[in-house]
Amino acid sequence: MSDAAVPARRRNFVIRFFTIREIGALIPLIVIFILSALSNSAFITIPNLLDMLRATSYVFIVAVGMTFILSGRGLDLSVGSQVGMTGVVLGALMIWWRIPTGFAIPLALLAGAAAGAVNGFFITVLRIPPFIATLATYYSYRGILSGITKGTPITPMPADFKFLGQGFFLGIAYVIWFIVILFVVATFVLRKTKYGRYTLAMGGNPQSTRLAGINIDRLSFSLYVMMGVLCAIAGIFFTSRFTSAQPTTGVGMELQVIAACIIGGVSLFGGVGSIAGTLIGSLFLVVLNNGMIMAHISGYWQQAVIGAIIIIAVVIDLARKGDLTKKE
Amino acid sequence: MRGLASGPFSKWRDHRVAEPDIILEGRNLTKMYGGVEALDHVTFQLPRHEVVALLGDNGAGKSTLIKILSGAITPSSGEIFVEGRKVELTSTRDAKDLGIETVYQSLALVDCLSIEKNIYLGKEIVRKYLGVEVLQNRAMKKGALDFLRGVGIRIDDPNRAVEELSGGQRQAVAISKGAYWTDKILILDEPTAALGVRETGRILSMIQQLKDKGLSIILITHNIEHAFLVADRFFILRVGEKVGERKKGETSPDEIVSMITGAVKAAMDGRAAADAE
Repeated sequence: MSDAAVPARRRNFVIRFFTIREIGALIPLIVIFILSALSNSAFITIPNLLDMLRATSYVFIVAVGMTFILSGRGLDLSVGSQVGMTGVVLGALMIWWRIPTGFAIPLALLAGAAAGAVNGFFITVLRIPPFIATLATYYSYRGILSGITKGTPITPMPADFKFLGQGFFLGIAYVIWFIVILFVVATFVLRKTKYGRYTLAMGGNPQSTRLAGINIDRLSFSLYVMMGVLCAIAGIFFTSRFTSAQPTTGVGMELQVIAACIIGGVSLFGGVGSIAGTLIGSLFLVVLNNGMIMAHISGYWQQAVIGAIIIIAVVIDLARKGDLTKKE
Repeated sequence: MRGLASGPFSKWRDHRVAEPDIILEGRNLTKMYGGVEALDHVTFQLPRHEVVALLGDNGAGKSTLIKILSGAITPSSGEIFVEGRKVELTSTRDAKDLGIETVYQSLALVDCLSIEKNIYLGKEIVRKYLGVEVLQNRAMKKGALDFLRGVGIRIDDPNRAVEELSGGQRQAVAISKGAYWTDKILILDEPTAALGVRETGRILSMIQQLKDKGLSIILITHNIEHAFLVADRFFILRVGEKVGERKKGETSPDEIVSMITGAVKAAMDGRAAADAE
């Protein structure tokens, strides 16, 4: 390589670095992380860091599914209700009907897939817009679980179920190991398989994708089923962690999850998204929460910061596409 | 129902000698929408290694004809021959399998994907590892850029999404999306619409290069100047009927315009009326 080529390459690297979508979320994350570390030395201890990762995991698991859904130009508002319903399914199976844990967990996953399939059916067969279809199931699923539990928790879960949410491997909670694996697998699927490629293509331009011979209805349907399974997984870990099925589990989670995706650079308009960005977005929400508590700042202010960051993330997204300067 | 011989435009009926090597032919194609004839007994021939410009005003039946030839719609009556063999085109998939690729300019590209992801969309190169199909992004990028270079299109930064490319580059990628996948027949729908002068030049030279590579091309356009730059032949439709067909050496832009608009007939009628006085 000639000497002249080196600076050009380096400049290219710098430009590339700042055009990476995830940078928009990574920098605020680092800033908040450093501020939190400075304001309280307990913040940066291993147990606290692991606690934050664990708290991130539930949002992240669901946000992975949401990344695929949003990238494919869909939306799922019912995820919080689906997570909550998983707890009730587990409670009913294991506590009311005495079904062994080894059977109850696959059944709960199946129930998640079914809940997702209902969304997929409404959206791809009945052609109800995703916002409306999943707004309806957001209420319906929550209503069903509230009706079944009559508003009281189902508890306690059997002892052999607790290990999932409370067990450790090499000193690290199972759920953290799980999100590490999920991160790798989901990144691979999104970037290196036809499934991920077609999802992004569908989000970018559904008609062109269909003309390329891809069955976009089936693809879309499968995304909602996958979302349902991921909600079930999050619900299983959550229920196991707290050994009870709370009727309020997952309330408001859909907005947290969507916020994590948007902060992480997933486009609400489809076609763009990354799992790394979503992880950063999910971490951001938890670090902000934890950091502000440790800095003795009222939790009420958090939501204002989250709102500001969402606006900044979207403005960066629009600026990058040139939409801000475009005149209609 | 009017046949060719009795139609109002029969005076432009073709007197050409039979072509020996017709790669694609639609014979007596008719398409009815409700009671309306969008296409009325039109016979269209695409000679091998030629560019045929399909010309006509809005509503002339151009898009109905290419939709039939690309398998997107089936004709009410008529037959289609590919390389002399009678074929049934019930879907675009059938047409693609026979080597007929169609590029609809407005629908060709997924803006948020990069060049090679667009060109290979639906036909990705994969390798199996432990039973899992893994996309071979590097091989696809190389294939796409080599192809573009081969037809005279240079792309500085192949990693960019196509929405960030110039209009001409986008069009080149769109055409490649069809041209890459066939060595026979390429149908281009308005490839030079909404392009600047220089970019139009690039696209026309790309079409020329694709022809030199051995493709037979149907070019739908409104722009007669562009048609004259690359087409070997002109095929003119008006209100669903074939007006005529001309070889490039044997016609002029003026005649083609008259055929498109019907002005020749009107002018001649006018002269006849004047003579009679």
